[in-house]
Amino acid sequence: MKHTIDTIEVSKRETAPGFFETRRRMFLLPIFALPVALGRAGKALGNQMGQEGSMAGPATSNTGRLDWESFIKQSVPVAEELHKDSSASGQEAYLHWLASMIARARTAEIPKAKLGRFGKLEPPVSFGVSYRGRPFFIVEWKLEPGAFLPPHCHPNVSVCTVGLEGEARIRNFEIIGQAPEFSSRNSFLVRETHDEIMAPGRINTLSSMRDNIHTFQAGKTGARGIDISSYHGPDVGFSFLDIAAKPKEPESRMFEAAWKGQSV
Amino acid sequence: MKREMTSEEIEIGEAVETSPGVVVERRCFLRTVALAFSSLAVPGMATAQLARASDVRLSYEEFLKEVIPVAKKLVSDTSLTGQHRYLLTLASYAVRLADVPVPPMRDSGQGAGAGTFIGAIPGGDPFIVLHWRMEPGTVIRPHPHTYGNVMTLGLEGEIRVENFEMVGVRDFDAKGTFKVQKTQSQVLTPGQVNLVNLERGYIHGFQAGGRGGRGLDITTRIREKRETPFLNMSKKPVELEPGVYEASWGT
Repeated sequence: MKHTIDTIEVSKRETAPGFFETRRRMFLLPIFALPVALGRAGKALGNQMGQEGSMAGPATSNTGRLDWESFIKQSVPVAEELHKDSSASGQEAYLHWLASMIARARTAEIPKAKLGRFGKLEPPVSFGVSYRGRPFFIVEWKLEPGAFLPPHCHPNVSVCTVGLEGEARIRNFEIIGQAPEFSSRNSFLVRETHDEIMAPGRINTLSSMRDNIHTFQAGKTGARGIDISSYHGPDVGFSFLDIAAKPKEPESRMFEAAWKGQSV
Repeated sequence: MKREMTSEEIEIGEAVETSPGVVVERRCFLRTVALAFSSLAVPGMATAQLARASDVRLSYEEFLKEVIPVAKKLVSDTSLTGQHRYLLTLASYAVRLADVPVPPMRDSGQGAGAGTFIGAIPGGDPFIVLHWRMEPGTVIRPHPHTYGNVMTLGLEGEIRVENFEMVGVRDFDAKGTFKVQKTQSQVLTPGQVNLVNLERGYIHGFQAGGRGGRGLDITTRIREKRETPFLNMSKKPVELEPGVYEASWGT
């Protein structure tokens, strides 16, 4: 996907464990470029209309599967519109729509990222960026058999996680009450809100307002997948957490937790 | 099959739904962007606009009006992926629902005891909409969905929803014991969804929290109707990982 809007680098940040994204500021949109930009969106949707038409007819099991280029072409213009609404329900609509699109993509055609090992985790966990765009970017992750990616938060971010290979357990948590600053080592309470199996074709989502902490535990064969991430507010960093192994309140699945910084 | 259209074929002011939830409206360019870019004047630009691009809530009637045409287009693909797309698309509309009036309800017939209620809401095709309510601490017993997939939406309170699948070959007539795997355990709160695809997470059960809960099941029958058993399950997993339980079908 080509950007039609030029940008200028203003800062670098660690947008997900193990990789950095350069944050850029838009130049003023060149006046002459606007019709081109809008025209592309219109044309993309016009093309999508033709392709979508086939969904109304008798469907077979493979009807409507998207190659990577089609996924991007059809997803980005709509995602840009939905992304404008960062309310709780707006993010839900955005995430579920995005999930409905990635569910149609031929996963074998999703570009493979150049993976780099993250931290000193053993067994290793690797990350790489497989797509840089707006409003979403895609990070590929790979967990070796038995690998564990510690819990971490994604402030102001929504994530649509898609399993591609193997099996991992993914758990989401929410902070109960007010959490201290990331620099604090004081404990606070989190609640487990999701505990599910991530496998090929399975999808887990988190928004900036719910389930915003997640952690992965790979099964015996390891696991590979992607996180489709979108910012819905300013970048305020992130932190890993230590979460107690046993719940403080088993019935409600509440655990004691503490921030532990950005390295593991 | 729809033929491909170009933006120029749409009349100014005409809106065409190009894909579920996406409406392409050809606007007079001046009307669309004049305020922001008053120096520009390029007429005849088609711009994409989603039906709902701000935190506007849908009434139940608006929801039906928007989602039914989309659902009718997508329902015929009953593959794993097709159901996934169908349910996620329904969800992308349902999460914008404002509260829904509570219809007359009866005992759900699925509870482990008293205190679970269900009632149908008119409207819906190709799906039916069921409104359910659970009193605090009540349980809907785990049961498989054999012919209708489900999109569950939380409207009030808090419910823990668990999904399971049979380990190995799926057999709703299996005699004796078999193994099931818990594929999801989720806290369902207002505005959140849980999906039952007939190929994935097709057994579900509900446990109400201390405040009880209320929600919708949007159910779409895509296979031949048959009697639905309940799932009897061991209290503890037979294997610690990955959440495998011994189970049998019961009534």
